Amino acid sequence: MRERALLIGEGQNLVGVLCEPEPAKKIAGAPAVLLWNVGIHHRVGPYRVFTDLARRLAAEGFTSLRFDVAGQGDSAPRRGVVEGNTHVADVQDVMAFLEKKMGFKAFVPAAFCSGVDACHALVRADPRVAGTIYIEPYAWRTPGFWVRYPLRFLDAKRWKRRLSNKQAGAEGEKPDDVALDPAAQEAAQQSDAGIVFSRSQPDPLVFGNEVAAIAARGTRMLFLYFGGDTNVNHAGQLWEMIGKSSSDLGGKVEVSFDGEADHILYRPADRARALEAMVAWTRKHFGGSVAS
Amino acid sequence: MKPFFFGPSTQPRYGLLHPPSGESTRRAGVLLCYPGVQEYNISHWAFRKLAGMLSRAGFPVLRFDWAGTGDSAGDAGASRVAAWLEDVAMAAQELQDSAEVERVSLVGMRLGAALAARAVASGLAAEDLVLWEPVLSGKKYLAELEALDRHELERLLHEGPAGDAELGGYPFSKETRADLEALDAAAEAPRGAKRVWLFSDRARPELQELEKAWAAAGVQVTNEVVQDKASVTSGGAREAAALYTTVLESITRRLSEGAA
Repeated sequence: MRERALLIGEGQNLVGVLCEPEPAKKIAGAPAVLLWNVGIHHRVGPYRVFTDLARRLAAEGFTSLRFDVAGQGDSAPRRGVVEGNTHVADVQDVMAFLEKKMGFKAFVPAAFCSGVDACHALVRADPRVAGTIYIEPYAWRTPGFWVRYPLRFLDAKRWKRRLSNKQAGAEGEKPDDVALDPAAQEAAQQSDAGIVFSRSQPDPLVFGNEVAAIAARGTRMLFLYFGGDTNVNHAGQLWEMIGKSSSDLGGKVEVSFDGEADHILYRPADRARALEAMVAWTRKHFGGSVAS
Repeated sequence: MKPFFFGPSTQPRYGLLHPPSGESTRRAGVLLCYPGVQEYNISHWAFRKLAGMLSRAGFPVLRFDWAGTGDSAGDAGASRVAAWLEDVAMAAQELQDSAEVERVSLVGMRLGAALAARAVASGLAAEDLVLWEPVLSGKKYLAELEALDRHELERLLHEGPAGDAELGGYPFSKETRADLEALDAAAEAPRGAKRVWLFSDRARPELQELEKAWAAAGVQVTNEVVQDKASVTSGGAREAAALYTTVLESITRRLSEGAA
């Protein structure tokens, strides 16, 4: 594995790190994997997950480029105005660089949480995307979610947190709600406009139709959802959310659900499982053969 | 701005050099030392802002990722204090070579401040040494991280604490723990610095004691309290560290006053 720091884009404003496999391990014709910011984190991602992912992929023969979008992380702001999503324009600048300088024709963008906004717009619009990974993307509470929701009362860790919060005075949270009813806690925060971070989601059925169109084009998708206090509590919830089954989508869309992991992948063991899921999916679909 | 890797090819470190962009060019460069890996992500934006301010004040600035953090080579769990001290010396030399400056000032935050101070106490020559919310006692620092770890594990509905092998979301070796427990800022005065600045967001008795001890050891040291809207040490609001402004302006002003 070898890494190079680069300045990319017309204005040389984007800072990125190219991570390449050893020449003998490089897979001929494999797509390049693209990684960028997650929320306020710069390109290394929360708990360095994107650095680790890039290096794991390089060990499997894949090239990746992790970078900061304009004005975030180490990257300078973009000069001038672009039509549409500026993050998409940044990713396409990186794709153009990899195409021109290294001959890549296909790409696998992998995005985490809010990064999925730009990723999904890119995947819909750009046929060079051969596959994509959405980590903790949009989620909607379905009837099935609410049927399973009472199971939280069987989770000893929630009771423990409730007791602990009561003892600690709960720092402004409603301890009963945050421990045992995170959905109500989130709703209360939103109604008070006190929530730290929130963003709008597309309509689930519209999103489902977009996913279907992407799959029909032949682009593969991997959705990773985690447990904790998120809106997903079952491996099959994606199909409920978008109103389509795996077979409806020609087997092009896969889901990895890890109920033990949390939204930010705090624990190293949880990150290791998520990394393995992503690397295994990339290897399975884009592994090809080693370049001669 | 120039991103690059430096150091040994088997274990390269990531660095980002900000050339001076102001009207005047200083003869000293500034080396920025991030906090430890558990506090690195939340301080990255503040360090970028500080690098920009110093660059506009005429300083060439290098910020770099410690071994095992960010984009540098290595695993977080395997990193050791001795390697990080080598990083300080190596990065200072890299700044001198890349920016063609003879002298270097260092700005370190939290664990980065402790490591910068130790490097200067061990012989690295520094123009100014700025210690921002410095870790003074390795044991106390570990206790703070462990308290945050327990809070996070509980908040995220995990069993915990995770034991000695992890801390703050990262693998954490027994050897690194032992290294950090042995850190004691008062043990060695950073005599290699012409001026030392201590910055904190509230009056801390331990910093006042340190100021006296180092002054008695012949170090020119000033302890400043600069209240900011955010603090990396303020528990639940740690993400707000991205919003630091006032203390960054104070650091830039002090370095500009002292340097040619």
